[in-house]
Amino acid sequence: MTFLQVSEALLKGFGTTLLLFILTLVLSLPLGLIVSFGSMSKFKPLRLLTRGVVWVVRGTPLMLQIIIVFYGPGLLFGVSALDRMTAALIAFVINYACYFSEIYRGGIESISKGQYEAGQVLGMTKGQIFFKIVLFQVVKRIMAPISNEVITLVKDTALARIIAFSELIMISYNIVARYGILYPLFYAGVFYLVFNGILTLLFSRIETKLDYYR
Amino acid sequence: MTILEVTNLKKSFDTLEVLKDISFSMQESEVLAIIGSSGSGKTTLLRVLNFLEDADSGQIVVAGNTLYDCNNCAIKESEQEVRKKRLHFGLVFQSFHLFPQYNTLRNITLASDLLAKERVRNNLFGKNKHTKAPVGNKLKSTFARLSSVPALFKKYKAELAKEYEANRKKALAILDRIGLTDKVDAYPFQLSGGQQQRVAIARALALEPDILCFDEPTSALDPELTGEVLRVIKDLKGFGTTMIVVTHEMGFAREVADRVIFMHDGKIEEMGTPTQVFDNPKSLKTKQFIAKY
Repeated sequence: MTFLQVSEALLKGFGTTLLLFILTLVLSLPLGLIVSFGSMSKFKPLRLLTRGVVWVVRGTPLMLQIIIVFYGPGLLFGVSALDRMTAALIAFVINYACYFSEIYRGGIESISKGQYEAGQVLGMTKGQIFFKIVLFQVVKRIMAPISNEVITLVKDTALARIIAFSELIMISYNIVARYGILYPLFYAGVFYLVFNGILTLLFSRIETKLDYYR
Repeated sequence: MTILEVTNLKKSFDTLEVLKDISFSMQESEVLAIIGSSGSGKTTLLRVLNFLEDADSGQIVVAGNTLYDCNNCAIKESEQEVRKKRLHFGLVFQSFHLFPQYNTLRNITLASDLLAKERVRNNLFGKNKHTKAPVGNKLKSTFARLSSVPALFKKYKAELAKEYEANRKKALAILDRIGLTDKVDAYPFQLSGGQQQRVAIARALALEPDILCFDEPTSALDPELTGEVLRVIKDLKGFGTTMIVVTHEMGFAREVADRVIFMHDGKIEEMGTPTQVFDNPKSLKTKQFIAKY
């Protein structure tokens, strides 16, 4: 297999990885906010339920969760399995939403009560206080932990190979196994490294942008 | 004219009784200073007046409107109603609580802009706007309504712009009054404590509350910065603003207040003109407290 052919195959694998990455982010970032509201709810049953779910999801391997989402419905109820992309996406979204929810919760709880009260005495609604005052301050505070999670997600997508989802690592490993050449694995590593480099630059730009106030 | 009447106000936190039967009234344009040691219930009183805490019993009447009455206090009110009540009062906090992500101007206009948006929206798109059409005309009227949407939206945008501009002008006028015109674009972290507190005062003023409350407005400031804040409060008195000032600045209370309340242990221990309270206190506790300053 020529270098060009390897490149082409890996690029295709990276495309799949990228798709899973982007979809997971787009769905889990807002879902995480909703989950964080649940875990901060004043209604105790909802709070306990949400925190229980977060505990299970964060306390078990993501790889196991992918397997369960993919094979579980078929084994338990005899329904036809989801396609690999959907199954991987569901597992990733749930998993990352739970991690993000804890970051949001930390950020939201770090905003002083005074900010809420200042909004209240100015006649703002709860929604206005959250969206016009609190959220923006939260975003600034959680940027660093969020960027951590996002970079981890790029690499975690490789776990989807457990259900034969043809992402970057799986494709490069297949080449290694079939043609007996080792470099595609390192080559794949370069893809992750470069992409994460771009993300790091992007995040530091966002952080600089948010630096206009303290 | 009596602007505020508080009767038999009580408030407990669990078993701790913080306000024990507070009653007082205020005239329009009056400045009332509340003094007392920490833990005497001064701050809680302000928080109850601003509906940040619910009183357990009593009555709060502002300009003839009963805002709070213990006979109805079991009924949980909607957010909408509580917000309306809050707007009768303004509150300036001890530690400012400016919004760090907004500049001075935006800190001042944010709340009034949001209120304006709500008002314009209700005027243009409110439910009662569309009278019920007869069944035969329904389709026609739906069509008419739909086709009027772009025009309506344009009107909405135009009216909103007008309101925002008015709010901006008002904010600039207030900033001019408190001498911060050159800080319009500054963010809170770029301002000194005294300047931040003046912006906080401007922010509260922008909503034109009936009564402006100050919760120890200079306690978080360096001594050399208290002067500028006290001067602003004094100026406001000149404009006839009705104010309640919780303070530890006895000299200021004596000079600016029309009346002084000394609170002790959740009760009004003594109330009167500054001369009465500071020079001829009747209660022994007042005497002891004054002697410390």
